[in-house]
Amino acid sequence: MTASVEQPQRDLLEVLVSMDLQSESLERLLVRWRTSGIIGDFPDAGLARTAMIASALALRSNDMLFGTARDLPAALAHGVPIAEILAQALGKAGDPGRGRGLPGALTHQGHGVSLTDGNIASHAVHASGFGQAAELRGDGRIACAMFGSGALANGELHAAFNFAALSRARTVFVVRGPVADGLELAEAGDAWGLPVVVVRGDDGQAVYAAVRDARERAVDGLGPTLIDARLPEQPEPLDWQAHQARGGWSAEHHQGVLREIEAAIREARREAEEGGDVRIASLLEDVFEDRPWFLQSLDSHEVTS
Amino acid sequence: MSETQTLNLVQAVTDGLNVAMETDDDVILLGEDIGKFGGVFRATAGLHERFGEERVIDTPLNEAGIIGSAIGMALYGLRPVPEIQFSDFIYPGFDHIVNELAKYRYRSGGQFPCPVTIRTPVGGGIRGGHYHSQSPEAYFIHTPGLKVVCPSSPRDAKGLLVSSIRNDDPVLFLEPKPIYRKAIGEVPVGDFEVPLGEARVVREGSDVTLVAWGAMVPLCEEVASRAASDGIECTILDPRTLWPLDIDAIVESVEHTGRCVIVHEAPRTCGFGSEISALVQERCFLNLEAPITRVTGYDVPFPYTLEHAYLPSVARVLDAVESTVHF
Repeated sequence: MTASVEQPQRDLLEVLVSMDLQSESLERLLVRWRTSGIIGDFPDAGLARTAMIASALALRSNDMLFGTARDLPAALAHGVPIAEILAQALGKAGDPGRGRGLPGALTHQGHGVSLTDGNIASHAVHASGFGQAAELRGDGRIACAMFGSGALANGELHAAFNFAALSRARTVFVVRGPVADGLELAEAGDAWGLPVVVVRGDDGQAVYAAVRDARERAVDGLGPTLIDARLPEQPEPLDWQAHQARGGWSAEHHQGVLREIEAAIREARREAEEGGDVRIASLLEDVFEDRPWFLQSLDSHEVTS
Repeated sequence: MSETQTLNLVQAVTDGLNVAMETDDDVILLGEDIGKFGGVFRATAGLHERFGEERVIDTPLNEAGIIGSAIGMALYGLRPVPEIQFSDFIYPGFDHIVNELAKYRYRSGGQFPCPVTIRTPVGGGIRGGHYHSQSPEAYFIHTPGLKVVCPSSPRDAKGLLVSSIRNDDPVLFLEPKPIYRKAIGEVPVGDFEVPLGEARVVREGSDVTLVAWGAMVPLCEEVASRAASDGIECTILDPRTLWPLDIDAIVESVEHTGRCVIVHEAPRTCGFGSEISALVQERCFLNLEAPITRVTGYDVPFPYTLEHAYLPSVARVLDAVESTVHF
């Protein structure tokens, strides 16, 4: 199957371009922090950003997004505030995950996001299980799992596709980023009983439409879909000039949008930093619901260090 | 006194699953052949008929898929209880257990607890060879974020299983299959829990404390009976919840007896007996009358033909008890 959008949707395009700019600015800051040693490793999205954002925009707010640390633009598009993204990257107290994950490996219960830097495809199995539960309960929620080409070689993905297809899980799988090995998925999907929709990963509107349709299919109880939204050999960035050429905003408007984004990121950074550091005592918290005897207190030299 | 019925250990497991499922619609079972077939050990017999295929789910033969799916279900808000047919087959799901299930609460800052109870049979002596006989508890006790439970009686099997499923932390529920049908006892009818984290005093004696779990508990009972005929009185402590361990109960007993023998099926080196030994030494150093002794499996892969030589026997444990008491 190949998804297409017959008429360009002006509003959607505006949102895509705006979100892309916002995400690019945010990632540029995080890469700078990574390079200068302010934060640990951070994997930026590159041109996969468009597919990540478009996929997340096609979800409902109470859907659950599973991805890798590289999928941070999707978390942004799914509603996670910039201040919390920066607090997470900096390991500040404002991080909902309390500083436990690498920059980008963000968890946010309120916005239904779990990004990981673990095994390359384990989260796809979790998304399958979440979608299976959603099918059992039928409450209109779905799970979306994002991963790159590298994950296609991982057995976890076979488990995810196998379990999801058999249970008619309400799960949308999105493979994004460069094509690493030339593997074609359209026919492989038949082996899993999994419909595969192929779209250009640099075409935000097409990705949006594919995920939106797959979401509806899942909610209708028709099972999971794999969206192959990988990039073509010569990807076209979703930039404002292309948007302008299609009759979108002007150069002046573009500069204004950039100024707004920079101001928003500055304010978010101030908020993240003013939130303070993660408490040392929290090291022993959240291992279990209650703290057993061996997690009652830190050694005294640890507390003072 | 509440009403009781006589059950063996695996029947008590089934009874516990029945109770957990009838009192909470979010409890869902999944695993290989657990549906119509009722599980290879019959632990889920009758549940598919009673609760339907949406709550007793037959899965593909893929342990990573089973555990990973259960994690996703828990993140959704269900309370899944996956079964791994034999604990020897749990390793394909190891990454999901130690890297995901155990850590989800912590790495999310408490936002995403994962109330998954993994049931799996453990232990040897059933002519199962090394792929059907292992005791992997130490791997999981070593993993922060997991609770590890191992009952030795039908009463505890039911009560601890209900508590585990209702607990909001992930639990690895190890069922000692050598005594699935040998262990028979009275079990309270209906809703019944045994709290996690509390050891059980199986037998009281003043000369030596035996610490054992699972199928090693009835073995230690036989040892204690024989030792008593020689004038040696043994306390037997079954931790029941291996982690978090009820260290206070062990310390209280060893302070009284001054001697401690730890018995487990798993290999000796870095087995859970090593940790218990260290904890007792740290807390009871001045009370000890003899070195703490471990009677365990040997540091070899689990053997088929020589399993009787591998497993702790009454004779080996009795030797250890006598050596410790006469040190």
